[in-house]
Amino acid sequence: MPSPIAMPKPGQFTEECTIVKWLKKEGDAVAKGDILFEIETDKANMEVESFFEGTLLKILTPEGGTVPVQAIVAWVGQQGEALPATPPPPAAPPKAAAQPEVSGQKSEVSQTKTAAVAAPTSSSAIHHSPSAIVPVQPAAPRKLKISPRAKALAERSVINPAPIRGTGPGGRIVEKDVLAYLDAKGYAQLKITPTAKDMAAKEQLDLLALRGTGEAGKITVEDITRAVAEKPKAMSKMRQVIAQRLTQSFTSTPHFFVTVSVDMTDLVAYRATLKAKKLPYSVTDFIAMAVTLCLKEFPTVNSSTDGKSIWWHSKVNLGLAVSLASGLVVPVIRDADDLTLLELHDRSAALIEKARNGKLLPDEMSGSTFTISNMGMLNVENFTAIINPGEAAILAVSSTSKQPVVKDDKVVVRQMMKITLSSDHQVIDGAQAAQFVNALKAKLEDVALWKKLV
Amino acid sequence: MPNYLSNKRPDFKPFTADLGKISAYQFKNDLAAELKAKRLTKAQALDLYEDMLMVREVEDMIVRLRSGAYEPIPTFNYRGPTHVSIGQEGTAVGACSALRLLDKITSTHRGHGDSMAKGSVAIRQMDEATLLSRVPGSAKQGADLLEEVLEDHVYRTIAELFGKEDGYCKGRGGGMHIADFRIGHLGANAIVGGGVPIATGAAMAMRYQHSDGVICCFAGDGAYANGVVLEALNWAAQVQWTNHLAKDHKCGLPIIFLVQNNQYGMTGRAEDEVMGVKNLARRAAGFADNNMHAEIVNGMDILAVRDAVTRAAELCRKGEGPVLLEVNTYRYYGHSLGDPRMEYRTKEEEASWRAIDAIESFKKQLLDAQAATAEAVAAREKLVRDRNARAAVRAANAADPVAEDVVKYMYTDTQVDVVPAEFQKVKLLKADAAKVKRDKDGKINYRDAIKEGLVEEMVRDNRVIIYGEDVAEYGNAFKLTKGMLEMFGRDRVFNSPISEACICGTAVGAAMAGLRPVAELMYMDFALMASDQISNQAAKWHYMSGAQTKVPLVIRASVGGGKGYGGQHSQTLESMFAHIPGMYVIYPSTAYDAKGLIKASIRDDNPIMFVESQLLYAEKGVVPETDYVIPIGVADVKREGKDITFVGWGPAILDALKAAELLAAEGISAEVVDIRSLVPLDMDTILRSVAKTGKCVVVSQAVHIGSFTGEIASTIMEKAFDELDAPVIRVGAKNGIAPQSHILEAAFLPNANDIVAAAKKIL
Repeated sequence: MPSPIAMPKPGQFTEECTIVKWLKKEGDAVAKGDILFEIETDKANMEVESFFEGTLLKILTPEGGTVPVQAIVAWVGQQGEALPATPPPPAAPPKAAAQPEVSGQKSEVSQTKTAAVAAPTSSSAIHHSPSAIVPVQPAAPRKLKISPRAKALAERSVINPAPIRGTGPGGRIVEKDVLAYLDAKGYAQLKITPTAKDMAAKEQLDLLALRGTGEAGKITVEDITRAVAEKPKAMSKMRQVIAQRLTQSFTSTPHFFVTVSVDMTDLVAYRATLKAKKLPYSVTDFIAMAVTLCLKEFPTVNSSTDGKSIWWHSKVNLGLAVSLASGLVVPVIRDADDLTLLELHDRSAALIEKARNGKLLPDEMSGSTFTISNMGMLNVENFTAIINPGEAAILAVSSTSKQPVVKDDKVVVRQMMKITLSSDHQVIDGAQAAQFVNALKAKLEDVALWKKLV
Repeated sequence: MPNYLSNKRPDFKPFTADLGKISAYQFKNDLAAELKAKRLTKAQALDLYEDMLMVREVEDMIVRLRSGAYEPIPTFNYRGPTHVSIGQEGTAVGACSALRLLDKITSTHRGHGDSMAKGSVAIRQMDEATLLSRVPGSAKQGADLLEEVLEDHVYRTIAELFGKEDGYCKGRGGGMHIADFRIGHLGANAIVGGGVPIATGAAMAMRYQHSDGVICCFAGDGAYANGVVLEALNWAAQVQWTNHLAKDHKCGLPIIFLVQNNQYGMTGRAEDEVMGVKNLARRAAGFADNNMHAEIVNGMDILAVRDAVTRAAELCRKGEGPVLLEVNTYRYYGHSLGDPRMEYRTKEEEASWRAIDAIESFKKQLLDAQAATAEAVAAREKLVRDRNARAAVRAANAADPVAEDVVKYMYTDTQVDVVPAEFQKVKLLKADAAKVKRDKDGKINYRDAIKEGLVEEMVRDNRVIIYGEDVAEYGNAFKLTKGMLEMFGRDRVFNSPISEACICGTAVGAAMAGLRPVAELMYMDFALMASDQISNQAAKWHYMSGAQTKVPLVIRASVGGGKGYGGQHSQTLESMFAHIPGMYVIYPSTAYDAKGLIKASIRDDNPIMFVESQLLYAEKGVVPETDYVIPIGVADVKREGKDITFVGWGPAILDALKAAELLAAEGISAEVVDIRSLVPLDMDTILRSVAKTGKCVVVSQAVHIGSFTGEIASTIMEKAFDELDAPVIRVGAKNGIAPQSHILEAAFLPNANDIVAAAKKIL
């Protein structure tokens, strides 16, 4: 009897996943533990191992296919075995109710949020300017009423038929409408190289919308290449989730921002001595530790709200925004308040490494109670971050640079770093935010403290 | 010579009808007496015993296979029917042993015994060359060769039961449709009574061919309540075969209707329940003044059956057929192995029949008459058992048919391009009796075009005969066959009884037996009375026999729609027959096509439903007097156009052409494609036209629901979706019943305006 391979349920509330890649093909031998395929969830890519051994008899869901979790995507069994009739994919589970439970003050809210958070990325839209945020869910394109023949003609002509007015029954675009449109647009005069036309057809461009830069306005391969680059492309699932979460946060949470400059001169110097002793600590480690300590002092900053109640988190689950080529993820250091500096370093280094390799597990990306976004290595003077939904605040850490500062009434050169706390005004007031960032500043500037902690 | 005219005067003088007498169980001889009378040799007697054992062994195997209890192949999974005839061996072997090698049989769904017996008896009569033809390449001779051929017979039978490519019907038929046309076994038949008109048609062909063969038509008691069987009895008994109408060819049909009365239909009791007579032999008295020489025979006594069939065959060979024999026997098992039997009969009844078991009784006679020693008898028993075991093992391991061949043998691609010399000899009584006259433009009408085609083909090939209701002196209801009786004589053009099922069924049998019959149904509506014979018999036998036989027949059916004849004389039913794989369905729309297609149909080796329209009978066209055929399955573009395609057939083509004319006045150019045959369908021509125009209306006179127009429309969408500029629209008759009222019928049938309106929806 062949064994069914089901789409795993990577997270409690994951409803469906997409198969990105099959690593085995039909007929391949499969051992227990072999990677069968990779999936893309709304959070990350994951590898799925086989629990069975035998032969991959049949792939039911091809690459690119999206199915509900626990649906059968393949069969493993003995070569030549007959497959049972595959039941239809189970209905997607009901939508997760995003109601946090007030009593259990741990990480229930974590379920309502995901990786996305303002963080190191080149897209300025996410960081600062609310006006630059684009709508997350574009309206579904209107179904074009067009006869198959007219559609085939439009495809053959490599044009977009959407602007054509249909004169067929019910306003359907029919062949003669396309012909009239081509005529009106001077299609016959259009000049294009054959290769360019083939490319345009493959890329589903509209020849009538292209500007030819060749001789006498001829459309060339270069024109097509440029048009292809400008063509709208579907966002990845991860990008879409980022867009949706950040838009939700930024438009529904009243953000305010408090910035202080931290004098890092002494800490940087101390870190240099540690480095010479082959101790691995990074500035991020110190910041993470300082934040953890401060959050224990300011529980309001380590809290969640639903707009009617507020609940503190007794533990610190620290999110660290990590930039990836495909977007960003936030690995979570659980129970950071229980860790030594060295443990904190090890955990954060391991998670960042996994994040960069796309190997984070869903549970390693959920449940944060506070997030740090560090753009220190990206040469920024100052920036603000958008609060991860479900959290009360986020800390934006900018680059450390030498600055003239007044110290003991003298202008001196110091290593300065700006930190900006974005706070949810629903739960945090200006004074609390100011106290929090100054407490943080004080800890970072207190080398004696670090000498004790190292 | 003038035609025969009846001159029947009223005659009401009182009298008493004498229905005569039917004798029962008069055979008195035992084996010793038969041997003494030299009606049988000792060796033949032992062979009879062996043949009965062969039948029982194969059926006993079926019973055991169902329980995994047949030791040579304990794990073989037998799928298929289990209608065993155990108990009836004396009847099957007794009857077949009285037949010659090339005499024919038809059989039933419980036909293993008849099939095995006909085979083994025929094989024992074969000369060495014929034996060798059944096992090509064999190096054996004499008794060894005979034994090899007998084992091959068992093997091909079992292989057919097992659905193997090596089976008699290549695994396409199975036990209920087993046939071996090489020895005149025209097929077991799984429709109760279905084989009886086929046998009658084969007998009709043998009469026509002046053959001295006979056909033994096996059918059970249940079949003798079936309409087509009663039609066949009447058909066979028609006096026109033997009276003054037959002139110098007075010859009754050489058919033995052998009623295998095993006392039960499926479970319905013949004698006590579902029939009104105690003896089914009485049926004969209803159809022939000579009671068809009917007798009632003890079917448990192989010698009694053999005697009765021998005498029946002699009568048939003398031209005194048909003969009806009621042979009483018993089915030990139920209808199938799923039938526990005890709901409808007693164990005591079964025991009483088993006590006179044909095989056991005959074995005792063999020993008593010293026809064989106990050792010789035991040796035969072992031979049969071992032979069956070897054949079963071989069949179980034989190759299955290839799945890709699932529809192989549906149709044959052969036709009569050259008539063999022996069939070219045609006697014309009056050469120009059926001549068609042309008008000054060289035109004739559709009706005469068909007639001219029929006449030309009958002159070309003497295997072509035409019959149906009123086709003889009267020249058919529409004068389409007028003059053909005078031209060809009654052997080739004759009236049939009003028996539509038998008209079609006898055509199947005649076609199997070597003729090329053209059967006429006066109205297509009547085809429904013959639907089993058309759909289950004509259409299926080429495939079910594994292409052993061809069924070259033409059923002409005319459509009466449009003349106010109401619901039962007006239907356009070709879509129904297009849904039956195995038939070709042709419907010409012009005089030119009608002649070319009827000629092609007669020459084609597939069964053909040739539909004619009475609305078109008077339509004239230029039809060459020359011999031409139109290839079947090639559509014709009746009018070229570029804006819209009308696809259709039959009278709807005339409407489509009118519609095209109306649209032309508005500057719209319509193309009209006449498919001419629904099966085979020339989709290429349709698709080419649709590719050109992008718009299509499919038209016919059939009622909309379930019409073949839907098949064409959906195929266009499937194969030419990207060519379509609009949905394909269908035009047909309303979803109703043809009314008598002229006003209503005009509203019922589609016309040119309907087609124009449909076109405008998508133009």
